[in-house]
Amino acid sequence: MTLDPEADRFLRAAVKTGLRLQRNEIAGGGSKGAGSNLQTLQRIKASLRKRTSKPKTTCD
Amino acid sequence: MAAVPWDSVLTINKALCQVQKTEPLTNPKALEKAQRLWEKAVPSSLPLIDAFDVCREAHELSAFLFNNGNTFAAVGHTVVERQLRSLPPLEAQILRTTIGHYICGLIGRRELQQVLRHLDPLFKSEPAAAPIPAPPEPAHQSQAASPPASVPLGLPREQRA
Repeated sequence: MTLDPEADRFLRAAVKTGLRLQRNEIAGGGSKGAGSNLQTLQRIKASLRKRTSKPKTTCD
Repeated sequence: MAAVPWDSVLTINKALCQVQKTEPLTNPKALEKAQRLWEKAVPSSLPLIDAFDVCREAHELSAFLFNNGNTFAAVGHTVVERQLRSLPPLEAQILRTTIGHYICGLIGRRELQQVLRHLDPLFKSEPAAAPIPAPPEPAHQSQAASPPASVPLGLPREQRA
């Protein structure tokens, strides 16, 4: 894949910026990442609970 | 957006995943939609805020499993990089963060517009000189003076290449 010089320059700069964002995310604990991970975990937990829970039967 | 073909977006994501040693996995349906959205925007010269909207919509589609936010935020930041160089460091950081948050859907258009409006006088008053050492871009500089004042926040024209 060949890019024109401008697009190539942009690509290099964008990768650099992306790496900086990645580093900041790691350093800062990744507020968005952590939030979305937590949400994913909660979703998984909820769906597992739904699947495993059975309607309670009473003895009486 | 001409300087950012869809292939570049893919390359950015791959590079970011490579650093984290993760597979650059994608959601094929969303990827196709994002590509269509992107390719529709690429040939046009968009105002800056519309370019961010394209990044935001593409991010929303969650085409990439890993580094989805970082990929599109990186594009958004880079689109505005030249303008950021003309701002004082604190304001540049405010704008960078705001753009990233907008693209990732953490803030709305109103907040972004407020920040852009707040920084607008700085864009106009500051000369285009870059205090940060950067690769010389004679084409940028020669064209930077040409856009009329009515498009201070438009996409840099040289990006139409």
